[in-house]
Amino acid sequence: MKGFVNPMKSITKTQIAIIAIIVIITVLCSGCISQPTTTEKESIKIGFSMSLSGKYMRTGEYSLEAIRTWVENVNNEGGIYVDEYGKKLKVSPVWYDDKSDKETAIRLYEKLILDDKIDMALCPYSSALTFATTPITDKYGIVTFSHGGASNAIFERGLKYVVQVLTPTTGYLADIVEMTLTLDPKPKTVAVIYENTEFPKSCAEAAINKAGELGIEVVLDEGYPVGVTDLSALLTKIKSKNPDMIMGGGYLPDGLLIIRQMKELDVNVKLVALLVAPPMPDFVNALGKDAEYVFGPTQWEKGVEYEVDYGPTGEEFVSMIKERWGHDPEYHHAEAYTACLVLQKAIEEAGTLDSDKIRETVNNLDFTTFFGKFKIYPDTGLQTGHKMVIVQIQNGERRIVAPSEVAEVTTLYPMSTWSERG
Amino acid sequence: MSGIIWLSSFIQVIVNGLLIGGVYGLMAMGLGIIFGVMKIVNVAHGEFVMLGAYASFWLFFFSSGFINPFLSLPISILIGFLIGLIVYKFVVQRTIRAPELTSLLLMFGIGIFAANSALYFWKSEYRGIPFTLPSLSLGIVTFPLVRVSALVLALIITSLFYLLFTKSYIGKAIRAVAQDRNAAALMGINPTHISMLAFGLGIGLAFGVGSLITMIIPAIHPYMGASLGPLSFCIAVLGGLGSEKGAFIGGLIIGLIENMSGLFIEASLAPAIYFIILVVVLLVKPSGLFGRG
Repeated sequence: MKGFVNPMKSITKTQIAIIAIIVIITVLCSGCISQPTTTEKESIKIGFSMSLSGKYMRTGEYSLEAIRTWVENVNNEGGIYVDEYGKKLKVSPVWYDDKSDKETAIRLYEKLILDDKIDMALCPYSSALTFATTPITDKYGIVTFSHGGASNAIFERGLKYVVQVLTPTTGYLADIVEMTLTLDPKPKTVAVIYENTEFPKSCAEAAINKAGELGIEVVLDEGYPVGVTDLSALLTKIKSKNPDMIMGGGYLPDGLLIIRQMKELDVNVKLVALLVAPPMPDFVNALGKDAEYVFGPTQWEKGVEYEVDYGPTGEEFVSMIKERWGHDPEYHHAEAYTACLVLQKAIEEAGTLDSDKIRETVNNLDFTTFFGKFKIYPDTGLQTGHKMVIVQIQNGERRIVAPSEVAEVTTLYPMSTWSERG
Repeated sequence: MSGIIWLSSFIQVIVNGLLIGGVYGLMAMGLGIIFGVMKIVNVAHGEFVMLGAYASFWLFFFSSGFINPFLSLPISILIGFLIGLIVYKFVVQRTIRAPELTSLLLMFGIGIFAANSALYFWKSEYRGIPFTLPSLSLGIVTFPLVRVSALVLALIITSLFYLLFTKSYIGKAIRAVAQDRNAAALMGINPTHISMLAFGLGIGLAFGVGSLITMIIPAIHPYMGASLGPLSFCIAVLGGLGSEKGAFIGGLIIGLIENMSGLFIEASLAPAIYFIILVVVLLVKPSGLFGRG
């Protein structure tokens, strides 16, 4: 290395000492400067993207209405008490429209974290968007509460900071299979048919496993394509196997198609349970009398009253939403509001806004809101406490038939044949 | 499966396949007419079917159930025909001499416009007409009368169109323009008017299918065109683009394949199977089963 001057040699010890002093002073001062900003914290910034246009528009709006109601309620009370700051902090929500689009939602969460500097996050609506955005919040260590993402897959990727509030997809049909134990005569066989996409498929698989555990024979396990316009073949196949029950479906259009074509082809079973469709008002509107007897799982239903130990009761929640927005709440409202309640409780218990401490606190939470029980698997954040509410269409209305502690009426079983119903 | 149950299932799926196939055929026919005359691939066809379904729905809704899909079918076809004329006059006509890609992109845009307008005005809720007829059981086979009626109506409309195309002056003029636009003009036919008429008829048929579909598919929504469009395209190409008979038979074939594969293989494989058959047919006979040339 001849000809080069060693830079270290050209710096004297005094110079090093001066640099060291400057560095130390800077660090100390920055500490002094940053100290007041933390104590001056005025609000808790909670960020999320919501589908306010595109295919999840309606459900996105419902979720947002609930979140805004919660924010207003909390802020009217002065905010959430955070021990670390020794006072109540108001909640300031930051949200953007993700247009029901994954890419947009991903960008928005980056923006929320990097530009808006949010403290905590709520997930967007739907499993698809929650699946897409949770790796982002996880990357930056932001605790995020999933209110519209039921899919188990979200929680099977080793993410640390995501917490599920609603029952995962594995519970949707499996809880109904379990309910059939109470029926008389007990059904012995089931045909499981489902739209061949992520959510219905995982619900169906869980139902099949549960049926296996309970000794119910699965006589058919088959998917059908998205946007199906004709299920005659599948229903003809079912007719030839003559099962006690049909379970599955996917979303509303295929759910309606199953019932309509069961009638057309005179397929008679003792019980039909479908995903998503039966709890929706459009199910009864579109099918009229043919909707009778059909069972469906839902995360929450108006009229459900749990023994609440945190937040509003079911009745209070319903009137709260109705007063503020002029219409009854749907289960999407309930999920979103509950995610906020869990967030609130977690901050109160943890007494800090530190992500890791909050996430750890959530592991120990075990309480009941108007939405039902909350408890998660500590490692994954997957919900295990909450149970699906099971409804059945009776006299044109959806009535709660399970779980037993909140049931309004007894089940109508077995269903009459189409010819008996006229 | 025991013998009798197997036989009953087998006959049942043939019946099912033919019943839905007739409606599929009619759907593809509208696409074929427009392509035949204007060489425009109407990728917005599914969206026009969707609009037709909504037309029937609103007629049913605002008449408190009095105008059922049977009654709304002619009204819906007429509305579709008029919308077709307007769309042609103000939009499509301008691209008629442009490269094919232009009209393809235009129709694509019209499709997106139609779906999103429907979403804006009628929201993303699923709607359905609670209109059913009893089923008729003949021994081992069940005939859902509502589907039988849909098929009968589809057959009547197909026959009327067939007569229109083969017997009437307008039909002959449409075929003349389809064969050679310039020669037809020299023979005293106004190709612009004929194209406009053909476009109107094609869209009218799409609306008619939409109305029939409300009897069969219980949920209509703004995005339903997205799955119906490719399906009608597949049927039209299989039967031979521009051949009315081909479209109808293509529809029956697809209906049968869909149901057969549902019974013997797996329901979710049906679309894959009919697209494979489409590819095979195109390899053997590129103009489709009944296509010319």
